[in-house]
Amino acid sequence: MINMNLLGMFSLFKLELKRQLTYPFHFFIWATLWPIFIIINYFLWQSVYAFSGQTVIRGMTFESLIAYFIAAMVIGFATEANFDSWIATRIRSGKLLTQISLPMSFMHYLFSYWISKKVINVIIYSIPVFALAYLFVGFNIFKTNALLLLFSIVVAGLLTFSFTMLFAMTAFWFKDIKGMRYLRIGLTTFLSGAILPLNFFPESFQRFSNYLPFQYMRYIPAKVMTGEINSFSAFMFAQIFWAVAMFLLAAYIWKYAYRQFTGAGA
Amino acid sequence: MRFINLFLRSTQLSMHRELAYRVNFVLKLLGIITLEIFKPIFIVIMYSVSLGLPGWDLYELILFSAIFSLVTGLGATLFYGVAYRTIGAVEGGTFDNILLKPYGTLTFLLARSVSIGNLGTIIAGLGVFIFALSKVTTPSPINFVFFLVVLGLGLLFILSFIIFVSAFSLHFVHSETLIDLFSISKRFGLYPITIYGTLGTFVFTFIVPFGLAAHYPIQALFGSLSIILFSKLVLVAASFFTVAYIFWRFSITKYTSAGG
Repeated sequence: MINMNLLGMFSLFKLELKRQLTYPFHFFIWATLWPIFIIINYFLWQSVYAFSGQTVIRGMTFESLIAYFIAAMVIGFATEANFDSWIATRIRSGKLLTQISLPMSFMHYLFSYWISKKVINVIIYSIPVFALAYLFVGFNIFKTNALLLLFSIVVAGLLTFSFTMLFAMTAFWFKDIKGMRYLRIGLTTFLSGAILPLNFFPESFQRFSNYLPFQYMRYIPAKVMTGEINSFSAFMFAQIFWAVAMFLLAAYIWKYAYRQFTGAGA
Repeated sequence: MRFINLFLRSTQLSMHRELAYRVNFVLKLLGIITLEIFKPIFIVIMYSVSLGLPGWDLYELILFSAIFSLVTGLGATLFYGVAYRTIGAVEGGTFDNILLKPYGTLTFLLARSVSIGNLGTIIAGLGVFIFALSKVTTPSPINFVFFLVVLGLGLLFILSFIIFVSAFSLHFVHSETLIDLFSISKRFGLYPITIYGTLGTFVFTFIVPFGLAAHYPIQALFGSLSIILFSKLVLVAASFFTVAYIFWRFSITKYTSAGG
């Protein structure tokens, strides 16, 4: 049964790869778009550092801040999950029936679909971003503790996947969840440290943030990528805890949410 | 008059469509407003750890980001739908239906493509704008009118780009990515364009005028935009629109239906 599932997942993974590569122009455009965020941050913070006359702000030099932005972006390529609107559309139209009729669980199906996107994103989009990073601030990814980074990314991916799944499941009750989606994106983008490292935030917020799962989605893996965390520390245990807890919660709610599905419109 | 009637009916329809799922509509508004509020929060954090950007105090930069939200929110509400509708109609083979309407094709698309779903950006932008304006030197009524005119130029630039994308989609299928191209690259205008140096300022003024999104409107508001530069900006925006419109007319004549 496990082998059958793995085989099915691998087939789906290959299918999704082919489907997504149907429009290579799309990837070309996005490969040129992602570095724009880095370029904007580069010029913005260059002005800020120069005007303030500071070489270090909140323990970060200009180069280490840009390296952080790059790392946070690449972590996003590998872990971000935006399938909630995809699920909501299928629930509303009843097309979810197609997926749940397959001889594999929906979670396995979704995971294969998601992981294929992630693999393509990392391969295609990381290259121009890392090239820019090396040219502008001398950031070298090959100096990172690769094993620790891989571990942290996998756990962050599981955490983000489960968190998005929680929001996606609200579609069984609300049908249209664009609003929930915006809230999720807002929360995760800002609180995970995707647009600003959390050590720039007020200290009271940083203390509060330690009790939330968001920093383990981007901030901690980005710190691993930039080499600021280079050994298996308490952060890793906390990351595992949140990922497992979120996954179990998502799996538990799925059992109840799934019962709401009537297949209307199919 | 016919355009205004159609526009109003279309706005009404868009409102009804959004209100079909009321909880979702409210959550969407809240979600977008939350996302927009993060822009001034980002600026507050930036100013709490540094001196910020040269020539801009905290509230001026917050006002800057509010104007950016206003222009881009209005652009998304009024114009983005033109591109999405054209792309969808071409892919679905229903663009012929639009061509047969008793209106000019572009006029019809403009009137029918209002998207109330983007209202949150405008509400947030307006709220932050009023707040930040109360914290800076009050502009004179003349400067405020001048500001609205330059804001209009920013909208004209967005419309031109959307017309260009829509025209492009008549030649190539699946060109939504071009909207992404605009949505992302317009962020060059999220901060004062002087941070990009002399070359960057020139590029974002005359080549791809993202400066029209906030940089020049706020200069007009503070009375620091010269008449000469204003005239040049009018010329740039008008040229963009003319080129986009000519390309649209050309694309319509080259369009071959794929069925439907």
